[in-house]
Amino acid sequence: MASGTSSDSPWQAIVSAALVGTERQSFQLPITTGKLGQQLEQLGDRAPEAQLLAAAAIVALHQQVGQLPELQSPPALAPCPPDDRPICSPRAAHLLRRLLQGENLQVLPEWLALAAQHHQRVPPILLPALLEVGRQQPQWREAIVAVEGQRGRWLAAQNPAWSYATGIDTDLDWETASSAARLLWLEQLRQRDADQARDLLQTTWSQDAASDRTQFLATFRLGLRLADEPFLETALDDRSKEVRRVAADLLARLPDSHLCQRQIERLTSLVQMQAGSLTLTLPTDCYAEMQRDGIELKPPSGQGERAWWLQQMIAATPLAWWLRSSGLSLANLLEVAWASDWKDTLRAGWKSAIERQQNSDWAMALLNRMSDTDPDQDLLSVLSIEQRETLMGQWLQAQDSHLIQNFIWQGLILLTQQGSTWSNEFAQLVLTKVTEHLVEGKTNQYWLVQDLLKGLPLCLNPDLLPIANQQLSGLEIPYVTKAIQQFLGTLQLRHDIHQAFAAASVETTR
Amino acid sequence: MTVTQWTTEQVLALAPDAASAKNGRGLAAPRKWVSLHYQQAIVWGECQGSGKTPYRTQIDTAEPAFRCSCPSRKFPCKHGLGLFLLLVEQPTTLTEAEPADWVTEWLASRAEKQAKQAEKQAKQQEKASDPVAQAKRASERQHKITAGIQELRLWLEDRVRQGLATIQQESYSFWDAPAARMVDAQAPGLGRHLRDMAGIALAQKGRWMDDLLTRLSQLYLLIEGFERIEQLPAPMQADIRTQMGWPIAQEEVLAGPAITDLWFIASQRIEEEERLRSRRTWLQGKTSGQSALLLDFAHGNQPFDQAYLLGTWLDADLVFYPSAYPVRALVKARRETTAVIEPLQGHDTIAAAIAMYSRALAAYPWLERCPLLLNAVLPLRHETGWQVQDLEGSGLPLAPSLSDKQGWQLIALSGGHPLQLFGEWNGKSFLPLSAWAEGVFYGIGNE
Repeated sequence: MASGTSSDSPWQAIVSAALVGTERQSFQLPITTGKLGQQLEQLGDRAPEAQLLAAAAIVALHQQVGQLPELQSPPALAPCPPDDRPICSPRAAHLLRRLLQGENLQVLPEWLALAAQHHQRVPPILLPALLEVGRQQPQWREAIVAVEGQRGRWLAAQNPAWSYATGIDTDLDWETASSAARLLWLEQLRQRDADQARDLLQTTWSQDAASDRTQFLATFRLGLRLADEPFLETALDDRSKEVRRVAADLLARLPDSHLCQRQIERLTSLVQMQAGSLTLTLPTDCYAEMQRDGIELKPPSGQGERAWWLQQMIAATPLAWWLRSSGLSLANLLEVAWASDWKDTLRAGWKSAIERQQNSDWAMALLNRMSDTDPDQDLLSVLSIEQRETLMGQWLQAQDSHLIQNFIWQGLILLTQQGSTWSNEFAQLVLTKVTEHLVEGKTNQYWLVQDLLKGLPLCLNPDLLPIANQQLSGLEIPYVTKAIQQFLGTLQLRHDIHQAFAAASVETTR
Repeated sequence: MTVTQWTTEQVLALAPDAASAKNGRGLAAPRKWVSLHYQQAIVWGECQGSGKTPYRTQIDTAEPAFRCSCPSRKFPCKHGLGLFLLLVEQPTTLTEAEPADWVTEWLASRAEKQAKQAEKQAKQQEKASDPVAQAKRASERQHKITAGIQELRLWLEDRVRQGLATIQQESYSFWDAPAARMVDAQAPGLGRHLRDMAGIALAQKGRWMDDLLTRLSQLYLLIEGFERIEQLPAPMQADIRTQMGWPIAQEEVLAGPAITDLWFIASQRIEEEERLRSRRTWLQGKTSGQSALLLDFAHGNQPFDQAYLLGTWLDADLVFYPSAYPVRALVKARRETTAVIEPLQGHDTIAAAIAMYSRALAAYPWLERCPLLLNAVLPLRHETGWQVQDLEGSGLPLAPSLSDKQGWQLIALSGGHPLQLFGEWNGKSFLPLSAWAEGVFYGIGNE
């Protein structure tokens, strides 16, 4: 606040005197003009301490009463442009507030998706908390940006921590925006027009920092196509190792790329498939061209380096080549492979290849061969939803309710992490089996049941809430009761959220 | 207050802490309740807990008043909150019925208690108005205080004789010892001032030496005022006594003239100090333009006697405590009212608001928190912290206790357009307590 005091103002004089003390330095009453001066004069006939304290009281009050607000320059920021989307209903807003306070935050993406679907935006008062969440959880940024509205973009522009949410409209924006905002923009653009995204990236590629180039290039996972190959090939020679790694991995996902052709050529000389037997020769060296194509020199600890190189070559080879060269069916090929000395290398290499090429036939075949060990997360993720449910459903049906084998629990837990909604049939099968097991069996697999119940509420159709309640609500099982309550609570919350948006759309159609 | 006017937010605001709110939320599901009924304003239900018999919970929604058979010491307990939430969010889950025995028992005992309370108050009023007893008490007090004040005057003069430079090395007991003696001398207000100063001297924030000297001098002013109290005008006498910590009996205040108006409940904050919770509710009069502060107290986990819903209107007669700048008030009578749509009128510029503060301070030098209603200010972020700026370009810094999240919320609500803000100005910074943006009212809580 403006006070206009100089170093010999009455107040300063009094403070200095008070610091020193009247016994060390005699106190002089400050002299000044006007009514204040007159008031101070009248204190003259008191003892020094009394003079000081009284003068302090008068001058302090005088200053405080005379205080004027400070004049400032007007703000540099323009007001926010009007929003074109309506705010969500109060009920939906209230549920969002609960999520943002930390209750079942994992349900947030679903809320955001529903809001986007209904072309609604988040109420301004919840924007700071929401943008904060996006700062900490990059995987949710796209969903947040879809419902933040003009107000959200305007707000984000004022806080560097929220730079990801400022939005990019023009080429100038692309050149000046933060890395986070550009990354988000690229991810969205790759899904809409992958070629345009590639062109845009190339305009600034040479100036970008290595860490940015790595992240930006990684977005090519979305909408990956052969037209990306020339750019990716040049990236194989990039000065940053991380960029080269990303480029090699992406090219390995394009079976028609030159990189894959090169891998096939290398493998052809090392693989012999004859009359029902399979022989592999270990590569003698890892040449520069091999490293350029993404073969890493140093193996993980415990693995021999030549087998490691071979495994990586297998991981980058189109799976169709194996069937063509051997002339065998998939089932027979796997028989032969499993019987050979090279089972481990082949299995490891093929797993990566399956994930890269998203080949569900191979995934299914491998899963069936590995059915007595913990099911593999990567392989499961390659299967279609129906395939996963059929596979798990078969395994589950075959179980006796008293004891469900660990690998079944593991499989179900993995399924809850795939991020898709289960069909009602499969969901009800799982609920029934789990309920039976809890009620009949004396389960000692608490931690597995708890893990399953943690991920389960996000996979079920919220319409199944009444059935879930009916089956699980009254149950009191040691160590599991709390997990059941939380499961039902989360499912209830999802159900309420869907209801809130459905009710809103009924309102607007009236 | 009819039940349909309650919202989820308002119910959750009754929770004594965040854990209760969360647990209450969890109990707001029909499957947790064995029975759910209502009759007129009374609601009751039985909630299955971990034991064999379900807990019996009931609510008189007119107040609201809660009662539950669970062993929790929190008030209202999670069962009460859960039941209330069910009533507000899923009213169809309750069926109308004749009250159970345990419900009618409670209602009867409450009616009895209220009758006893009225009797007690009448007796107290009788006692208070006995002039002889009053005069005797007053003269005893006068003696004690006079002695205490002499002592304090000498103590203050010693401080400036010896100099304040070494005071930063003193411990809390340096201040606490004279404070305790003031309490013994029946002047607890002086003790509070000393303890506040201890806070300033130990925290040593900003220009603390200036602040400390100002406070010391204000205390000195108070002492001088007390010594010639009879020569001062009546409102200032009342202010000095209040600052000393002399309570004025509620009956005396209630005997004064009342202001009838529609009062907007503009803000509510609860502060806790050693098991005593104090609730500060600011009201703004629609016609009178007057600000009023309601101060209520509750011990431990007990509920406050009266509920005032933030953001609603109160049709009431208020009586103000005597003062040269009257703000503290009591509700003499309250009546049902419906919502009013018109906005409140405050100050158009910060300069006008500060001018009002200056006038108030000149009349009442010990003013600590002054209510300000600013019609159109823009919240801004400066490198020094949060600010508000009006259309003339005047700026006020916002209180350091405002969290970053709240600051951003204000900016988000404004969208770069001016907001209406209500809050407290302490001479240095403005603490926003509530806001109006695009016609919607928001309370700003303490975080």
